[in-house]
Amino acid sequence: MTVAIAGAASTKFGKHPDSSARQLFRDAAEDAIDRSSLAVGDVEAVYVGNFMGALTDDQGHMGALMADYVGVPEAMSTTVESACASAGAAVRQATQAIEAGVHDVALVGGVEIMFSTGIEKITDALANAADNEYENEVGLTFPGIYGLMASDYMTEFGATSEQLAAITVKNRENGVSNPISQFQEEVTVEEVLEARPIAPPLGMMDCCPITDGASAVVLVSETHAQERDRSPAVRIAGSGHAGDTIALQDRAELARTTAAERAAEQAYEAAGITPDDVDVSEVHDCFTIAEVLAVESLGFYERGEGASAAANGETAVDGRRPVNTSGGLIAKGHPVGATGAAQIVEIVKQLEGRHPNQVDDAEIGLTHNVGGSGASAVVHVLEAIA
Amino acid sequence: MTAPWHVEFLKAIDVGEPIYRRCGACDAVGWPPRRSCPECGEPEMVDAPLSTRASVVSHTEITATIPKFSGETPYTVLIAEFEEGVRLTGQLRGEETIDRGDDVELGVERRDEDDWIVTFTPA
Repeated sequence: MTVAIAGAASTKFGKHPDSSARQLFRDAAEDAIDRSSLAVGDVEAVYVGNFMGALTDDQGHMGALMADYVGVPEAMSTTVESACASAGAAVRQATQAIEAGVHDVALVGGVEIMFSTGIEKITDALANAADNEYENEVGLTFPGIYGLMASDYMTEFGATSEQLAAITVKNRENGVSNPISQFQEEVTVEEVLEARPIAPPLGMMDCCPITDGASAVVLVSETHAQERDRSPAVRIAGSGHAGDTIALQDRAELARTTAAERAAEQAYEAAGITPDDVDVSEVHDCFTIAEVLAVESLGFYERGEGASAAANGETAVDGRRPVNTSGGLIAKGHPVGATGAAQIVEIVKQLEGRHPNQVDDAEIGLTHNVGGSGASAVVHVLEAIA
Repeated sequence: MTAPWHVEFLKAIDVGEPIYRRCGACDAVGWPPRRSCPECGEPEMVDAPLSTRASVVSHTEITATIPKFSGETPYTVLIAEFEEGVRLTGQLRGEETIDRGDDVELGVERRDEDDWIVTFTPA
């Protein structure tokens, strides 16, 4: 049974000091359900990606809370936690449940409230996605982990800070016209290079911001959509989810995300496509180096060649391989538990032909969502329903 | 919170008898408290003595940190590889900078009761 996306929406990403997780999720869910032409009461199951509610907000059991506040307290619900890949994993689990015939209609999304928590506490909470004893206990932060990956990559392949900066410049430019984007101003390569060092070679502008936000999608079985005389425009053509060691030190190669390679292979096989068939992608650029590792793990570039993609304009909206037309995590923002669903929302807009940075004739889109330094990776292939 | 196995691991470094783990079935390497081998899956990983000299694989300087290390920035964190094939993460001591390929000596520092940190000092 194939699964279609009947509706998809995100809240504005950024600072929401006067809102809360339950309110933000409800806002995204209401918008997604409205777009689906279904009623709230049609929702049979709620899957919620969330990473740090229990750490920063004294709030666990997010699935039940969100189902309750969306207006379907009696629906089955669950929280899915795979660090920053939580919502990607949630979408995949809900898709599989529909494929198995368990539900006809599922509401899936994610939410994170981060901004009001304060930077040190947030850095501490994010560090829970790493290996506590072997990484956190020596003072290795998440930017630090990606700094180690970037340092290794640049030494290994001779990549430059200018090439990484070009990724921020591209994504910030894309963010300007995306109404939900946290950052909506362009930056220059010089500004990125001169930004405060965070974990060299990564500086402040190589890093995604701290973000409040929620995203939601309504998944339906295509049979159910046909019975209701609905014509959703996008289907989930394939997906993959794979893993790797949790600590970076236990990997043979630091600058390589093999979980994403495996997840991509699974998704391509399920969808019956090759990397060259992908028209537009949203990838997990939590740091500039992460976009480089993403485009290599997805098979868009050979290892060592992904760093030049943005600098050469190849991953721009009008390039031959558009990546992160939403602005990505770097500009749009990264409410960690919501990001995997937010990427789906952006690709749905592309495949429906209503994206603010529309790619011409986009028919096949891809999302790449990573947890931690690559211990979890989820890839989805979406296609426009002809 | 540091788990008891980790305190034991760090104390062994402190007394000059560091250990790592090696799989009795396939010879893959790893760290305590692994018992199941990440390569072959067999529950055959056991302690083996580790050398104290390692080579720097990658390093970065942390300038924004978690509350536990607040006030200690900047500091350098590195991953170093031992001749046994295992890699370990620790903080640099003794020098402000280091390069890939430099030799470093494994150590630990005690920060508090049962709170230790892995360190590497240029050899």
